[in-house]
Amino acid sequence: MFVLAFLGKRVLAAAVTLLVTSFLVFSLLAASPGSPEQTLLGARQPTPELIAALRAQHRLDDPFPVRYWHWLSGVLELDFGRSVRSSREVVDILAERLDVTLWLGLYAFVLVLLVAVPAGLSAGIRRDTAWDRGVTVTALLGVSAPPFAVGLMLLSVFGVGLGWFPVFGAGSGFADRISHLTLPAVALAVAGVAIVARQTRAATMDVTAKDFITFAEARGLPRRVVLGRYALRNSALPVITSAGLVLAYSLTGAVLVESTFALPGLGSLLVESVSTKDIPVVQGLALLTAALVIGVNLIVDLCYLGLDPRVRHAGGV
Amino acid sequence: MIVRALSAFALGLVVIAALLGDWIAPFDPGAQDLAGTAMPPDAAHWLGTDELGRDVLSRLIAGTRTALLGPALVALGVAVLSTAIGLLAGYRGGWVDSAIMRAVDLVYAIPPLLVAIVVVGVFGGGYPLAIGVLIALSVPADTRMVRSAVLAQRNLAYVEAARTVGLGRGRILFAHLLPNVLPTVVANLLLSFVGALVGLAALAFLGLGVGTGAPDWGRMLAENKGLVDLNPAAMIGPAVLITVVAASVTLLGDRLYDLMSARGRDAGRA
Amino acid sequence: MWEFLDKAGEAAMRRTRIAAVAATAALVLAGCVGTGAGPTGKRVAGDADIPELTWAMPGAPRSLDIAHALDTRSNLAIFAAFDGLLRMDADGELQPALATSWTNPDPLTYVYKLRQGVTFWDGKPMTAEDVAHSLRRQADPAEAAETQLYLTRLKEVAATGPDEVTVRLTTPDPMFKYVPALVWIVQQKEYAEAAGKSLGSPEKPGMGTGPYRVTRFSPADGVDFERHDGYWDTRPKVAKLAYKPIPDPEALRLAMMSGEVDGTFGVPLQDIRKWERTAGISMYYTRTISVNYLSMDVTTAPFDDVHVRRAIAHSVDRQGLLDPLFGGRARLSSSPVSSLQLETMVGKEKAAEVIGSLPTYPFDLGKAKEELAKSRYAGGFTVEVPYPTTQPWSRLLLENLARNLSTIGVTLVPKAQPDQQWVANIYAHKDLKLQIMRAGGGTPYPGEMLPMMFGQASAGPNGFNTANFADPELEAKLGSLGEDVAPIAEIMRLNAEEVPYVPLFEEDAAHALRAERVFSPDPTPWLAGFNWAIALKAAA
Repeated sequence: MFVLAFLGKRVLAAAVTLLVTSFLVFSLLAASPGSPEQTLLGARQPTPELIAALRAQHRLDDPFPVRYWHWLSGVLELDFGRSVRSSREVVDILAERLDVTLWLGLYAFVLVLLVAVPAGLSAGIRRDTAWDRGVTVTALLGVSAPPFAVGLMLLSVFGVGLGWFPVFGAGSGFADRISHLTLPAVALAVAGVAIVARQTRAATMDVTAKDFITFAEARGLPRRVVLGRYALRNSALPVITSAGLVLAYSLTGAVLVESTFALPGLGSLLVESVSTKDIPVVQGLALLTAALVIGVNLIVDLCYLGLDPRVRHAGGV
Repeated sequence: MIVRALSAFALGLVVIAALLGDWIAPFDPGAQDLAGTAMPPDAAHWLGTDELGRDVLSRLIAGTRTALLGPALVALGVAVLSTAIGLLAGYRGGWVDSAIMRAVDLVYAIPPLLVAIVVVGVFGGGYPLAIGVLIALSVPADTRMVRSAVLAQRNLAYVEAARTVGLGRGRILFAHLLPNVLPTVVANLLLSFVGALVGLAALAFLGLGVGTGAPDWGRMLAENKGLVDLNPAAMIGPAVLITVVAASVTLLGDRLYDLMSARGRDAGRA
Repeated sequence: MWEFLDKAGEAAMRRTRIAAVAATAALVLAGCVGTGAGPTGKRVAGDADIPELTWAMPGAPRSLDIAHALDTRSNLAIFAAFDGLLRMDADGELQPALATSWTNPDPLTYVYKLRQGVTFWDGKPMTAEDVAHSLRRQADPAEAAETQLYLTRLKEVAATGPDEVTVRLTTPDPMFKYVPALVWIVQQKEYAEAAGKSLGSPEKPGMGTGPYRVTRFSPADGVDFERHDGYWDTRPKVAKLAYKPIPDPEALRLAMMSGEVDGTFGVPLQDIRKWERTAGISMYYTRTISVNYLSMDVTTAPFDDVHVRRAIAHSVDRQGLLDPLFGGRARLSSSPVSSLQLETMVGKEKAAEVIGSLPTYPFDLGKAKEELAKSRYAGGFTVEVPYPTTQPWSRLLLENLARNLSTIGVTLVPKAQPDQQWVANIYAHKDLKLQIMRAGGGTPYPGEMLPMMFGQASAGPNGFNTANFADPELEAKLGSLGEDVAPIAEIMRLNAEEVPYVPLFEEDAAHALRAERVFSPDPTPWLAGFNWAIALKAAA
């Protein structure tokens, strides 16, 4: 019951957040400088037919709440309208661009987990050794380096200087794509690795100081078991929290990294659409991003539930 | 230790540059030399020149002020607002708390820089708007932390005691609770500073920051991106500076947090 | 014209005819006209086939239907795959393509004889009705084609025989003769009608007769082409051609260095020195018909005073900026009329004579100060100047000008604007004051831009007379524009005296190709004349 109540509350909160976001996103059109018609016209020739069509399509003659309602019901059927710039369905454009960003994000996320968790764990366990200090300083630099600066450096060293990786495009087919996205994923992952490594280290230090670890070690359990079963599991909560943060961060980072590596993803689409005031595309992107972030936070909450019995039982308190 | 000393030294240099910029810069940061554009570093121009023949080092020095000021404004704004709101929510509890926390939850997860790109890009508000957006969207996360710090303190014996003695609410908040949540606030303040530093640089990199011609680090990074062959120092300079300042401030934040929470513990014991 | 707008807003330029001309021609794939065309050490063309070749541009085409893709990037893709009725040669002369000959029996009638035995990609023969329909649909108001701007005086176009198409105009149009080269792209009627509104989209890319068929198109990541083996003209050497968007110039250069990309058009001139030093890349330079200039609204203070305008003109260090802005690959301009267009009309010598007789305003801050002192605004003033963010050279120029003007008491504040907003402001024709612009026509006719930049008709919303410069004497000259150079020269003189526009530079176009490839023939200044995909060869 507690679990269900907890779940229900979270889902409800997520839905409310999404609704509020959608309203703000919808208001972008009305709030952007210039009249809505002007914005929707872009640079198209303002013929009376086109203006009439746009007014009808966006129901500009209806009162604001009515317009919002219609827009929202369209959005629920995945109809975000048409791009001002290319006259294509926004949802088609998003679908086309989503692919690269998903690959990039997942790739970076895998890198983060593969590098950050072992690094943080080992640093936390071997506290105050040279290794620990090394990890700490590297993480510090990583968390502070702007992703576009990292990207440019990787590009010129590994892409051009050494020629190990392709320098533009997203590639097609699994192996090709992996090799194309390696540098961008690394650039994107650097800050994430740093954040998660720091969190993992702190959490591990916290946990290893606890009695049950000392006890486990005293019982003579192999180190691997102690680490895997006790330390890792118990430091998982803060790590998962920061993994959620990393996702939010990746979305921002993707904007910068995709711009640097000229990747046709959602991030570069955002920059292009914002700079050309292609409001329908910006709306679609903003809503998609918000849905992603909210969705992942929900998943993080669920992970809490799965990993930590205390949360499960404290649900009703 | 060495790292800490180095970062303190670097920060010191940057602060001195911000204070004394006009005196220590070797050249007028705005002076152009069309006959000597995109020159690599030499004895006169230690970091070479940019596309209009301006001295890169002098521009970096001139840029320290904006580089520190913008993030400082964001950090202070965030600290003041989130402390006030967090204290209020944590101490008052009840409907005030739930109302605030619902609002906080709403914006908590949204990446501030992403929103800043959209808002500044669509409205074209430039630097001031960017700062405003970064403050508004960074407040929730910090409010959460302050609130939980207050919650942790609220039911401790000394607050209880203060309440029993009949101390006013304001007195309890500011004289007793505030000093004890201060480590959190300070650590967050410096983290917000770092976030804003990198964020504003990113916005400038995308062309959404300070005005044309200003010697801003993020702007320089974007504008001098094309000089990566002719004078790489013009691009690497600002990138390294942003990274070093951000890393140093983070380190300072960590250290300060340790020191202050240690003192807090001692004070609590006494 | 308005190449600025072209680059700026992709879709931006469709409201006026000028804009349209700009879109196409602005392209200025200028050829190696004049001297010093080729780079040193460029290799000669060999005979080998190239199995695959990747071309990069700053953006993908919007559409492959010219009616809805009148911008540089899209046009390049279209001209690689499709045929027009005519082409332009390196001198701007019209040459046969799908039409083998043409006549102009009276000022309102054009008759085109069609090439026989031409087939579409699907093997079906091209008919006169296909050709007629290809232009007719662009003129249909329901189609709302961007190219309509060229066709305002079109009355009808009809197949008048199995190998003949006849066009009738409502009034004479000295520029119509270029339409068959610029926008009369032939699409199969049956295919076009079935595709309807989605012609040129990823689903229905089009059906043409050109050297390449489209195998895949996406407005996000470009076009894939495959050689059309039944092509009527020279068989291209490249079997598979990919056209990829790479927005960042530095990423593009790196991609060329690593061999992933074989070539690109329109390298930013500011980066030329870097490209020149990049091993394994040959550069091709061509002149263009674009002119960039400062525009001052003569109807608003302080630019309503000619002395202020002259003071500004004296403050631009054009000679000094030539190298930092354009790597030396530009020439100083003394008139809004392109010198290449003028030379094409009257020859090099006469053109030099006309240009040489104009008053000039050399960079001299002392003189600028004197002029300002003579004006009603001797105390100086402040002006904000917007520029589109996609044009790095305009930022540098404005930053330099601002520095110079600060010494005579004028404060100039450069203001970056998102492209679309900048374009919208120009169209809205409000708060023009000081603007930085670039015009580039599409045809070899030197009078092409004048009616758009001067006179009352263009001094309002959607007009490009951003100086609002108009008077009766000027109107008379605009009215007499024709095959005679005199009125053109007179307007050039008037501009030089009154300085509504300060001409700045005529930029060259720079194209890059990996050294193991060559262009043969070399690029020309005329987009509609340069069949670039066919010109790509392997080096011997």
